[in-house]
Amino acid sequence: MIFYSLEFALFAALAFGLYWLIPQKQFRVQNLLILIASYGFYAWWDWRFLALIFISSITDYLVGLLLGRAQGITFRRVLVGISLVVNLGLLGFFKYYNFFVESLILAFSGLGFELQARTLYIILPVGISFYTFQTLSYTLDLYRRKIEPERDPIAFFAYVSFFPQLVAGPIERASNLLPQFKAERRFTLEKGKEGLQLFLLGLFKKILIADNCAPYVDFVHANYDTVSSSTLALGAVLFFFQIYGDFSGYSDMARGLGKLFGIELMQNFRRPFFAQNPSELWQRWHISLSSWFRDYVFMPLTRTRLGRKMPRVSLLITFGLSGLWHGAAAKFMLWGLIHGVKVLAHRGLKKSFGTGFSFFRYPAVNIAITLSLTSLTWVFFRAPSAADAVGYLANLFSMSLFSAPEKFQYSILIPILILLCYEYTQEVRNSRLGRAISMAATYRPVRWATYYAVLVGLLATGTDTNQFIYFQF
Amino acid sequence: MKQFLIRVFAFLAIGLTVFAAAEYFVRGVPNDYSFKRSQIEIHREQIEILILGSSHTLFGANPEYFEAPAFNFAFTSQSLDYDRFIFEKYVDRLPKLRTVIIPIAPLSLNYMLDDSIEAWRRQRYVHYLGYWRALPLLEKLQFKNYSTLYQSDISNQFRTAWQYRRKSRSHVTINEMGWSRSMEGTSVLELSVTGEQAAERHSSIPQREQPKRDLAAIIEQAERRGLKVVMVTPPAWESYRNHLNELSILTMYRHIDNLVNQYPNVRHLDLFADSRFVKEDFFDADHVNHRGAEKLSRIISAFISSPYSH
Repeated sequence: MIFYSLEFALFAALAFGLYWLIPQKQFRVQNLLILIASYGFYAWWDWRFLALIFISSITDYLVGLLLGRAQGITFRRVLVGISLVVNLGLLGFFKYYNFFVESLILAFSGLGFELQARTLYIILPVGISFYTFQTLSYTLDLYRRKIEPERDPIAFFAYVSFFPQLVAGPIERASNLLPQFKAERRFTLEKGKEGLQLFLLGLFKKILIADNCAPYVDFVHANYDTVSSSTLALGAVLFFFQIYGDFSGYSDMARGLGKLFGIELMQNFRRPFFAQNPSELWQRWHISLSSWFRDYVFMPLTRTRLGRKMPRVSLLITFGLSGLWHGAAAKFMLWGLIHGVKVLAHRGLKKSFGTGFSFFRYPAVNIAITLSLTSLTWVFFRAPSAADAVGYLANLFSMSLFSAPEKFQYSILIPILILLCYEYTQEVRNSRLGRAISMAATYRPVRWATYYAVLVGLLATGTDTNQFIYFQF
Repeated sequence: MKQFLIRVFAFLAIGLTVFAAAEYFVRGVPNDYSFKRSQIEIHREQIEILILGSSHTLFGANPEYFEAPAFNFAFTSQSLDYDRFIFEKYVDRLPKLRTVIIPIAPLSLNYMLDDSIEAWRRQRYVHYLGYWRALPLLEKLQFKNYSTLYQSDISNQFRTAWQYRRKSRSHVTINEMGWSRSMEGTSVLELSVTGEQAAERHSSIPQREQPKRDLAAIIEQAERRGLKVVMVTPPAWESYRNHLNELSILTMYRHIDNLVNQYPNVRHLDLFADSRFVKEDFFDADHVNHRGAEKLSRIISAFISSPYSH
């Protein structure tokens, strides 16, 4: 069920109603309801994969209990190893099996050997990349003694499967989410309003920005060898907005739903268009994933002998793996590595010259440079293959860069500009525009008129919308 | 919680009221679907020939040139499942019905409206022809099936409604027997270009079994009622025929032959490469214009009346 479908509206309304009918003191019963609802939600996608989320959950629940008792370093490592093998094994098989087989075949053929291996027809379970990482963070934090094991199985299973964030994140940490399942949740008018506002914002981003940009981006990528450079440039930038609208829109809807159930999910995006350099971008984009890789891949790598000697290699490995998390294809790894190189370059320049990529006095210029570089990198993400991405970028730099883009409807820019204005007021809260909007927002007629305007905009977009991009990960 | 629910309901109530008013404003405009629904009721006692299908017959079969009273219930992009729906809806309400005409082109046996970019037209069938009864339960509840406003281009809908209500400008494009006048007086488009483009579009439609099942259902129900079914393969210009996937053409003919052999009430009129249709008869490579429609209609009428077709 996608969040803006009729089935989900009925499901969520029913779950919401039953949830808050349960007395607040009986939060364990509420957890049970969340668990049943979440498993039902997941089963709606494909009931066959319920077993996988159950296996991942039960493994880490039991590993967690044992880690709570185990004192010996060897046994603790064995336990964490079990968690890693099960979760990464599930992920590795369902997501990467064919990629590994094809890569092996390619590698062997490069050496002159013909490897007889077969790929399989494997359906990728929705959300597997998210919930396996979420449960892994629990066992790894336990191993580091940052948290205590969770003994209540219902609370733990509910933490893993909480339906608003189950299929596309944010990837929650046990230290943030689990305690909320162990405490009473109170519904307040403010939380309810914030929840609905976030949900509406997410819908706006997904339908009016992401789905509006998608047809043009598809057209540009399908014709990258014939369209003008200005069209290619615009296509690259619009894809940045498309994927932001798609992914952060989903995250906003997830957070909004969480608030309606009295649960605070972490912020996954923090206005990435205002990043002034590549390092800052990754503090604002897909924060839950970038912090996961920082804490569980990069930091441990830097503590190894190799990592201490070659920290830059550790960074590149981290970014490469982060890219690979997005998809079982070389282009995703390349995309990640390019980001790693940009971050290294920024740090190097900062060390040498004190400014990194933020050369200019005016933030707007730094933002424009970061936006441009990031848009160019996104080409690798969107293109069907690395070769297509290279071809796309090769065609980008020609005199037609200064011509008008082909077949572009400028109305696509309207919701983008509205979004940027809104995010500007969030970024620069003391700005004149921000204060004016905050003042206006205190009046209910103004707020309601804004909500109605967004809903009319959603209605005017009309019929079918596209699948969330991040559901394929 | 009480305050929250009150505000949510108040918000929804205001919004739904405004929405209902806007929906009422745009919905009252007569269109081809509502017009055909009313016209078939007016003429139902006389109708002997029911013409189904898509744009091939919508523009190509003019009841004015049929010897027996005919009614054209074709619509643009109408697929066989909707043909079946219309047939089942009206077959017992037309006491003099003798013949059903269904166009079968190479795309007909695979094309489904609901899976195409024209799927928004389903709302017209739901609202004006009662198609909602045929929908599965969850589909019945889908808002998009009932809202005219929810279809794309709201501003155009308001403009159309305004023109109708203030200036009495009609947007009905069909005559009283259901034939579309849209191709009247149109000139011939570049046939080689349109032929290749249309062939490419039609060749990429994926294989499906449901349209064949719907066609068989129409034929079987017609047979039980003693009705004839005439499958017409409409004329197409060579640029379209030559660029079509050969396998799709062979598959079409094989399926038609099977049906003709299996059901005694079925006949096939093959005009796909008929030399009587010249360049001036076509609007584009697979649709006839008003002149071609007259020719096509007379040929179909003569075929129905000929002894061979009994």
